[in-house]
Amino acid sequence: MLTREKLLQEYLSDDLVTEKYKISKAQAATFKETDRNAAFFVEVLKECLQQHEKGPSRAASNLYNFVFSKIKEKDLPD
Amino acid sequence: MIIKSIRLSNFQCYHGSDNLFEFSEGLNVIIGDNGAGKSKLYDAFYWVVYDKLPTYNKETPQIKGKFVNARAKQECFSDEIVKTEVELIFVQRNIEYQLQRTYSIARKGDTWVENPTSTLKVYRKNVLDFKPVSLEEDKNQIIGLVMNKIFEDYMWFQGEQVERILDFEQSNSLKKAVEILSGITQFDEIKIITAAALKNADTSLREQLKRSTTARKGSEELSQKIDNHRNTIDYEEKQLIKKQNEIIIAQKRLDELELLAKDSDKLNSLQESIRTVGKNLEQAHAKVTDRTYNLNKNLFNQFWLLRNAKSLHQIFENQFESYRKKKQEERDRERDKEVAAKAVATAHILKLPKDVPDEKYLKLMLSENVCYVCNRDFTDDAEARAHIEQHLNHPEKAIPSQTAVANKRSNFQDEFRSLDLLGQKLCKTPMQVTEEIRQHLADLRDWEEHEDDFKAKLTQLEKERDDILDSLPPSSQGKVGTASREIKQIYRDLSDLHQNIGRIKSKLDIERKGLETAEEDVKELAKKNLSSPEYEWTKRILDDLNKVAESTRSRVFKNLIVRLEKEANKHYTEITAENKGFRGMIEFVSRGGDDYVPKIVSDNGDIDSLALNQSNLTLVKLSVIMAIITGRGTNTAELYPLITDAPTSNFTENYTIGFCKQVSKVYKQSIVMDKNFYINENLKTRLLTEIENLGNVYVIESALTDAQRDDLTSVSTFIKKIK
Repeated sequence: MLTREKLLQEYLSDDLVTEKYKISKAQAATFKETDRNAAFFVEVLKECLQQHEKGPSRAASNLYNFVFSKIKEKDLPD
Repeated sequence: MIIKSIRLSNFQCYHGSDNLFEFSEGLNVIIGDNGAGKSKLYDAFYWVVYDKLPTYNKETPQIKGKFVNARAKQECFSDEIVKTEVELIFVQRNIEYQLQRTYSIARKGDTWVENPTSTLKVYRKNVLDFKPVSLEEDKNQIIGLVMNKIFEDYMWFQGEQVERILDFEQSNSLKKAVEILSGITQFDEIKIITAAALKNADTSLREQLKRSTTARKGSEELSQKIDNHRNTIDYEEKQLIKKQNEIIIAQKRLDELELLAKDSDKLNSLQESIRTVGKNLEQAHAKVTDRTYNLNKNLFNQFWLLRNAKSLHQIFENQFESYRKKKQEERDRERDKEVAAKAVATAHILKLPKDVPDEKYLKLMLSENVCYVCNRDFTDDAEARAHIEQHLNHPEKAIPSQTAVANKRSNFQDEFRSLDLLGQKLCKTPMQVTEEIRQHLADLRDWEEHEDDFKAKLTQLEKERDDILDSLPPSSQGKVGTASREIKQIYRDLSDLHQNIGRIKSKLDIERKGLETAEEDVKELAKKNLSSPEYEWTKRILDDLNKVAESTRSRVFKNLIVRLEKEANKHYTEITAENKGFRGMIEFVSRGGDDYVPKIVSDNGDIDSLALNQSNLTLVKLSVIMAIITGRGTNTAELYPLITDAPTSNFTENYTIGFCKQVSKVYKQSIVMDKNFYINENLKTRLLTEIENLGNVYVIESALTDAQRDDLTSVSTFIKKIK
């Protein structure tokens, strides 16, 4: 079974993420966050995994609120 | 976990309490003829753990009273009870456990009082003795050591169940296996969460826009549009799945019906040829259409239409030359006239009429500073000059020269000149154009001939196929009349279904593009009308996350399929090692989305549908089942024993031995019940001599005499350990 860490690694090593958020596969493997965009995305991803662990009920709504609140705090991606 | 023993007391055909099977690591085999008690032993494993018989067999009564051995009941006196008991002993990490399930019925005169429930006692061995475990939680934990419900389907199964465990007639049959293999459902859940969060973001953005006074109208229209697109996409996606399933069902029925034909192999190959020729015909038809279209296009765009224009151009050139000369003569005449008029005007004092004279006389008067109407000179600043200029500046009042008008109207010199140049250009390469046209026409004729050939071939193949179909016996279902008619109908249905799927896919493409555009429009609207971009950002971030979830899931799934294929091939190669016939390799072929089906392919990638006969199909499925367990990369094959009844019933000798060898290598412990070794002495000898990791081997036989064979109350079983 996939652990949370492995799951996160799988997501971070996805081409879409590495290309768009400028994370190399090697960096992805060590969860290094190279820039603000990537850092923000990793944060959202972690929240998503956490919501997933909590169970499906309200997870989507919680995730949405999390992203929205982060953006409202002016922690906007560049 | 290793099962050490199972003891059956008055359980179904096992009479008395001396029915003990002991097992060790490696491959343990129970050999017995039909009806000897192999399946009942398999049932006993299931019952002691789950308190019921395997549910796959709907015919099997779950009434506990029926589990009790009939002979034991016969021997029971009034007011006594008969106890049915199964006792399983296993070892996990050097600790021995015992599960003991008991059920009893009591005799009251001629009637039986059946207990509604059975009892389960669980013991753990401490040094020498088994001590009872009382806590329900502990009991459940110990039961879980025997078998994990997730793997049960792939570790405990009967031969006929193999069909159901991996039913490739159903779509997504491997999906479940992959889920077992990997826990990929976690990706599915995240995909669902991100999709739902994205929908939240989308709704919020649209709500915001609706509240904005400037964007309300536009956003309502877009919202409606988006909802419509989404509804249509949902509906069409469901339709697509439905049609794909219909194809699978139709194909399955077709395969069954085709088997009815005496010459089913030929029918299969004919149908395959019909499909190939049909595709070739479609291709040839497309080429003919394409060539015809290009011919028409080139006739005009490349001027192929004028390919024989050289002689025509010669005529045109001659006529153009005479036209040009004529025009030149006209111009010369006109000039002569003007010169003469000027000469007359300057030589004689000519009083012109009072009407406004011709434009050229007005110009002449201005250049000479003389008015020929009143025949007087004037200076540059005289009123007379201004008067003449006024007439000249109002050309509508002036009477245009008749000859100038005629010249202007009939002068097509420029047009004729360009035509002449074009004609000259075309005439320079008439041979080249002719060659191009010749090649094009030859190509077109070739494809027309191909098209005719394919049509003829198709007609001939369809006739051959129909001849075979017409000789088919009446349909087994009897609904359609004859199998032949049903098959033909299925051919038509399949063709319609494929066309429908094509239509649905194009509609989905259009709808998805429409949705994308409408969503882009919403973003634009938000940009223009909302001061705060948070919602848009939220949507963008979640959109990214959703795409990543989708893409990661798909990538991981594909990797797992590759891993499963590799593992399945490893087992398949080992099991078929001693078989001399065509073997090929297992390849998981995509049927769209997550739906894969195994095919046997040759080295050059050709799919051999004929290689998948029933026995090969079972073999492939068993290889995949083993792959599901070994492909996990954890020690599932060591954690739980494989218990299977008659998995090799339709196998040849080599396949059976191959299967046993591979099972003995893959699983730390396996318990296999099989009749092949009973009816084939040679096979039994091979089992006993060729399997390296062989555990205990038992032979079981019914203890009935010939005279007792119809008497249920005499049923009991002999158990003999031969290794």
